[in-house]
Amino acid sequence: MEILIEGLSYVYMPDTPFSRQALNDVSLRIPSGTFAAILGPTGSGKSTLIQLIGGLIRPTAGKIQVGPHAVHHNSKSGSSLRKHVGVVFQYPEHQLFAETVGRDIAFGPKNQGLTQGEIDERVRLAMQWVGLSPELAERSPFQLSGGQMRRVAIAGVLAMQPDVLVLDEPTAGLDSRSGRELLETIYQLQRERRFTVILVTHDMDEAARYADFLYILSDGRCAESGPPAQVFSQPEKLREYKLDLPEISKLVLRLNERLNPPLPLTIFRLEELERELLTRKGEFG
Amino acid sequence: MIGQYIPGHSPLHQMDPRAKLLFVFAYMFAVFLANNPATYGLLVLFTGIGIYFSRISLSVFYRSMKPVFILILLTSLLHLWMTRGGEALFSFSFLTIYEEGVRQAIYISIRFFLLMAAASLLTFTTSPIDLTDGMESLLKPFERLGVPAHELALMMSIALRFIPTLWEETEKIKKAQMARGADFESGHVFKRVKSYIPVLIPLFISAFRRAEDLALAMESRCYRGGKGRTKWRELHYSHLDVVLLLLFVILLTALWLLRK
Repeated sequence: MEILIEGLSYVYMPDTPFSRQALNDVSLRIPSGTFAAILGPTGSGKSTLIQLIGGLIRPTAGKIQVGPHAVHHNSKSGSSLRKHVGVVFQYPEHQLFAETVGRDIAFGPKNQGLTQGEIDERVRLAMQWVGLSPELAERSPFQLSGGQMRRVAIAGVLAMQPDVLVLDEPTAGLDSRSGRELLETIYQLQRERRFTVILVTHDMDEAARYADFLYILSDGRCAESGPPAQVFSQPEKLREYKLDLPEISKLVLRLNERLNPPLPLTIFRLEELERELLTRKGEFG
Repeated sequence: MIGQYIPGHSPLHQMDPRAKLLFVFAYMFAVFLANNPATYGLLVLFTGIGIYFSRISLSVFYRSMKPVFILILLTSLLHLWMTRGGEALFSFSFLTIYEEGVRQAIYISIRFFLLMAAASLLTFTTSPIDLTDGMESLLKPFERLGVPAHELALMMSIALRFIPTLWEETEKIKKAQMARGADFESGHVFKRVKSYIPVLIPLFISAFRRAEDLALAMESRCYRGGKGRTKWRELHYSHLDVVLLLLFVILLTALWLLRK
């Protein structure tokens, strides 16, 4: 589903000495079926934005539209969005509660009012998607490793089969390999099933590698948006937003100091760089 | 919210927490000395001046007192109903309102308001750290009688410290379960209580994890209880506290003279 955001603002604790404007007149469009990444330093309003998209808080001003469902500042609740947007919060394993993995994953589908047969099928599929073996369904989620617990929590959201999946720093606290595997799983699933993914991250490499579109938040505003190749072609601007280039782009720039013609700046995967260098070796070798 | 600290630099903020604690304690008894319009008026005036000098906006003050107003309303209604004495002012079938009832309702409301206002002023203008430090220092003399002053203060400051953290955690877990379709608002009481299970279990798990982490962190920094422990921030009485004491003595004398 397409996501359309217009003039969105959000103020925490309005009319108190503690009031704080988290979002200030944000407008953006995330096309249907894309893998989008939201980037920005701490306190830039990323978490607030995804809670608004997920229909979990109501905006102070502006509009959020997900497919045909819109929420305004005077909407009664965001529940129309909640049915279509699945939000995986930071450290989602901290919300596990049920006695078994299967029952925890079933919580969402059960709340959707599905029949027991449908629920079982959804749980089985979700576990398969995130790469959890079926016999884990009867185990307690609290006996699993951190990486597995996170997969259970993500499966709990995937089992609802949302049209939009929002992931808030899904790799935080995982070792780099499990993190990469997790994102790779989600990426493959997204390519297959073509739902919309919004990945919140401050890891430039993750964003560059997987996202079709990037949105940079800075001080509660959407400062920059576009495909990775475009956004990462302006390193000076990125520095203004307290962000860095992806490691791979830095490497390409270093190589370009010695290469003529230079390598294209649209390379964001190690495999692509390898291929590019090998073809060159073939040409000049 | 009641008990919320609002940072500032007003004279009330700068007073020593021990002085404020002792004052509020004594004030709670002084309020009961009032028994006629003049004495109640004096106490209201005194509290009003206190609110003024705390530099806390009236709207914030009003909002924090809102839940108390409901309680005040309830008790005064009860008094209107139940208290008999004096002339009957109004009569309607089983309900008769007497002069004494009206007077009691007004006095009790004012008394309630005064007590809550004094307590709120204390928590508005004193940071939780100052409050517990003050309490520890006031309880120190009773240590000989077996009162564990330091431990009590530590428990209180840890509890206070974790209220906002756990509150934040609750909100976060609630939102996460809401994103999975949990409904905390509709249904009858029993169903609503049950709907909180997916919030409470993760909350307890995280509270235990935090407690364990904290204990480990304290131990690894060689915490060994209150014995021989010195303080980085020491409490000092200032001229402001003397002013507070003098004001209180004047208030007490005035109350004594004005009461019937």
